[in-house]
Amino acid sequence: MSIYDHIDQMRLDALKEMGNIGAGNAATSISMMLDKKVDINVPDVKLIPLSKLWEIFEDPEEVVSGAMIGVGGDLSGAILFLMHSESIKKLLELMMLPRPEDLTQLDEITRSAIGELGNIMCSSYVVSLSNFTGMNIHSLPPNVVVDMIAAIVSEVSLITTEGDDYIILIETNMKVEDNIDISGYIIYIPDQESIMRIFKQIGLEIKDE
Amino acid sequence: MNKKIIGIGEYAASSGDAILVTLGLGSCVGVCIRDKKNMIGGMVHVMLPDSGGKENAKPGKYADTGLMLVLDEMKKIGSSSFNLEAKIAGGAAMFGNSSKTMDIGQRNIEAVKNMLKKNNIKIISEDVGGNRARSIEYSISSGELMIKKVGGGEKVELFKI
Repeated sequence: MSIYDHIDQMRLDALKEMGNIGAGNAATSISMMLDKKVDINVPDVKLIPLSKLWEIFEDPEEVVSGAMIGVGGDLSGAILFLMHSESIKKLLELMMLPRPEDLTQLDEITRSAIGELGNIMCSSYVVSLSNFTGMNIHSLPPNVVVDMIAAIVSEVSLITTEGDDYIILIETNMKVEDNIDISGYIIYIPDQESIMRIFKQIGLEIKDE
Repeated sequence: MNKKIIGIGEYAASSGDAILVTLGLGSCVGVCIRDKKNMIGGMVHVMLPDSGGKENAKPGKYADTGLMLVLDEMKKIGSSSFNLEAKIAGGAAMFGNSSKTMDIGQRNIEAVKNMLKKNNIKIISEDVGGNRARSIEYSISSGELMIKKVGGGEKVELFKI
């Protein structure tokens, strides 16, 4: 029996709330940077077998750009910040950067800007996670990635869970307002150990049978 | 057309006009095996190089156990154990070679090649390594492997091996 059999609605809701706080803070920091209103939706928590992962995407082969930020300290896993190609270009323009023609051929400045965006969002996510759980957590340097969405998410799941059969995705969509259509995802993929620690910390401990 | 999508760590064998598909191969390796004479083919989505000999709920994940499973499955529907041909794709390093990933892609490729060699299966073509993910479609009747990869100009490139 794995811990995933113990994850009931209440525990899923707890993770959802955690994602909400994290993404809320991430949206606030990006909103402050851009001086624009940023909306987030209620996060979605998915507990799915790795082999069914491709099914959750509308278009698994859609090309997205973003950054993976590892989580270190008391928790591990990774946070992904992903955006559609057009969204990330508009966002870079809002940051007064030149609009990249081709995201698959990133120059050093654009690459570093995308990494920094990921860094800002994910660090605020991590800080609020740390406040929420009272644990000592920090974020690691970003890895910029441009590829098919299903491949990115499964690759990160693979790296963080080291081949577990199930993964938990805490996913939030965000949208920059002001008539500019900029939207993206923030996805936290914790490993099994981290999930146990989170539940223990917030009083929903899963006891070993 | 009879398309079958194979998830991570899964495998399938089929015959005739079936097309086996797997999406989002990052460091994973898609192994396609075909018995040309009997028109039987199989595919496995290998995630990790070695099962370490342990019992596992999902043996299809590993190069060593996964390959044996797909060969068994092919035999069940009438494939011979001789004159098999293989095509492999995947094993990319999507996030570069950070220490956390320990270059799983390269290890997967090596493990798959070793296993194929042990079973006397010849690799007739391959598209491995690099830093881009792949999606693959394997036609059992023609033996063609279509590969989709993100290329220049943010477009998804399509090519055959």
